[in-house]
Amino acid sequence: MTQEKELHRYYARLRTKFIAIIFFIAFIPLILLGGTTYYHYSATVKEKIRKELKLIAKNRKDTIDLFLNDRANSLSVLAYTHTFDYLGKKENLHNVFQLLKMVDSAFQDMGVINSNGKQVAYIGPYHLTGKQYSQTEWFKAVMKKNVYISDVFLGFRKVPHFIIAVKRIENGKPWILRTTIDINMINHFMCTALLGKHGADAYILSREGTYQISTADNDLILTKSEFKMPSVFRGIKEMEGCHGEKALICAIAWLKNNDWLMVIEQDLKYELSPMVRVKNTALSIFIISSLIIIISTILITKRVFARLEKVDREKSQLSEQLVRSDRLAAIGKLASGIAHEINNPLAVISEKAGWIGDLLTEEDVKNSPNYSELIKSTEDIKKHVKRGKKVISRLMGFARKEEVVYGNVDINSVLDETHDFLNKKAIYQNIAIMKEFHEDLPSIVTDGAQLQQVFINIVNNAIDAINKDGVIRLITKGRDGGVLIAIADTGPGMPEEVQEKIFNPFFTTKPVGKGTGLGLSTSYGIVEKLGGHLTVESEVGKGTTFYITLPPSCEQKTKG
Amino acid sequence: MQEIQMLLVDDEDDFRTTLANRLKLRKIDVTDAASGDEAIEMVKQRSFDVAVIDVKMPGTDGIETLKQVKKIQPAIEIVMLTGHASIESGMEAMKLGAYDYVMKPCDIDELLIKAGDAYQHRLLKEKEK
Repeated sequence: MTQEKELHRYYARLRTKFIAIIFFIAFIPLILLGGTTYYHYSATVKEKIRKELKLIAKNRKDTIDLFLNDRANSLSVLAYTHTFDYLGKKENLHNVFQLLKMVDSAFQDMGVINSNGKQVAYIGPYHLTGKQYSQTEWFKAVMKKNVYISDVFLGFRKVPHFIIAVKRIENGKPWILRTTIDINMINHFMCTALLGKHGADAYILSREGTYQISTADNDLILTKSEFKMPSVFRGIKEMEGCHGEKALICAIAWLKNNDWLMVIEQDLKYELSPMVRVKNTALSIFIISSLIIIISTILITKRVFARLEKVDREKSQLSEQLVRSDRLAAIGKLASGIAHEINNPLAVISEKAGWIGDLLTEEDVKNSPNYSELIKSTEDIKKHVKRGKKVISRLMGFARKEEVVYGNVDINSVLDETHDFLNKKAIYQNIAIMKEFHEDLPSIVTDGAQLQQVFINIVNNAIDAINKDGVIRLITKGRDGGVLIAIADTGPGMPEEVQEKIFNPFFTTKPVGKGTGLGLSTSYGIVEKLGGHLTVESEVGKGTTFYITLPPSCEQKTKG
Repeated sequence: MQEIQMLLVDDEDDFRTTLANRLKLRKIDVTDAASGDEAIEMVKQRSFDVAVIDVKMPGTDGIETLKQVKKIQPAIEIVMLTGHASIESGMEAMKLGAYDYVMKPCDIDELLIKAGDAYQHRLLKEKEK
């Protein structure tokens, strides 16, 4: 029925809401827990990387600064302990250079340049004696500064290198001692720092942002870097940023009197691989627990709600029955009151009509021309009083509490009687009453006479409903130790509105005077009293079936 | 056949007088009483063969009247008139010694038959004595 559908929809909505709330409540802590754990863990890991990088950077900065200072100092010592004339001679320069090389392999060559910028002596792998340096930047710088360490440049030899130059003024005339430093030495320092680190890179940029040294790729040297040059600062700085698609953490430091910027960067992808593992584990735990939550929630709510809905439906059915029996009781009381009040006037009318009839038989009236009319009228009055009496009798039958007379009843034989009783009437209307009995039907303890009344009522209704040509089937079946009786007709059926009302007293679809509207309500009352249920199923155009279920024994119920 | 001496007890005047008239027309000696108390008084004064008593009356009701009348004249046969369209009150009356009951509104022929049976029953009992 529509009410049931509505109930079902209501429960479906409630269930969805319930599931949504449970998901919400279950997932929020899960997500929070996972999220914060992941966040803190990754922050810790990043912090560790940062500290590590910072330490490396500090270490390298000190090493490189010390290295450059040492070389510059060594050169200064050489320049100030020897004269221009002495070193300007190739053999002497050669001896000194060889001596130096023995203790320090960083020096690649050595040259002596006079105040005009001409290299007067040179020891090294290239042929650079007599080269003119007056126009080079480093020459101009060293003339101003006394000690100068150059950026990396190609020079005459067309190979990236850098030089350290020291100026000495001897007898008012400046001269310069110059040496080339192997950039691989510095490269080596940086490489050892990064030993065993995946995705790490270290390089040195000039103030203008060109590569001086790169551990990753020597071809980069002297090309312009995309690195955004920071302003000069002391100590070590760390930065987090992106380079292309790579997420990087880097530590930077200024070297060589703030001429060079050392960058040590770490690709987070490598360093964070344990993080990724943690992330994956956490994610799979999350997915598994989510699945468990979802499945268990859906299963549990489904079960709970099915139970709830069933209980509710049963409750509403029960209350429907209660309301119905309450209504029947109230109507019964009313009916019996009315019956009493109407019965007496009916008795008087009946007697008066009888008396008139009696008097009419006296001779003087017999000759009256209207005699036959008068007789007919009194007969009619009597007839209709009888009709009224019948209605009242049924009303009372409906209202009274008839004692149940128990006995072992064979439902099949009761239905046989019903069949015999109504078959003539049915045949007359070309209706076949078919018996489809279950042969080994258990006999049950109930009131056969009252059941007979119920069967006759329903079959009578079926005959009236079919009117002409049709079939009525009387079906019996065993059910839970009791009996199920179905009475099916091929009548026109009933719409739902009618089905809902047929058990109400005084509801009838029969023409006025033919039905009292009490048959089915009385039947309903009887079946309930016997501990059974009377229900109807009907479809317009197909027919109607009444179902009566009866328990094995109704005694316990009526006693309670 | 000897006329049946009948006492008709009913509080509804129109019903009682009309029924009495019709019974008289059918050769029954009817005395009518409008209440249970009146009927009891009459039974004290003379004897009747059959009493027809309405169950439902104000004051002394039919069942009480039945008891009293039976006490005074144990031989009297009683037919109850019951307004209830049920057997219950009739059955109760029969347990208390009524011979039969007729449902109201009654068919006069049915009443006559039952009253006649009651009368025969009384005659039979008298013979046995």
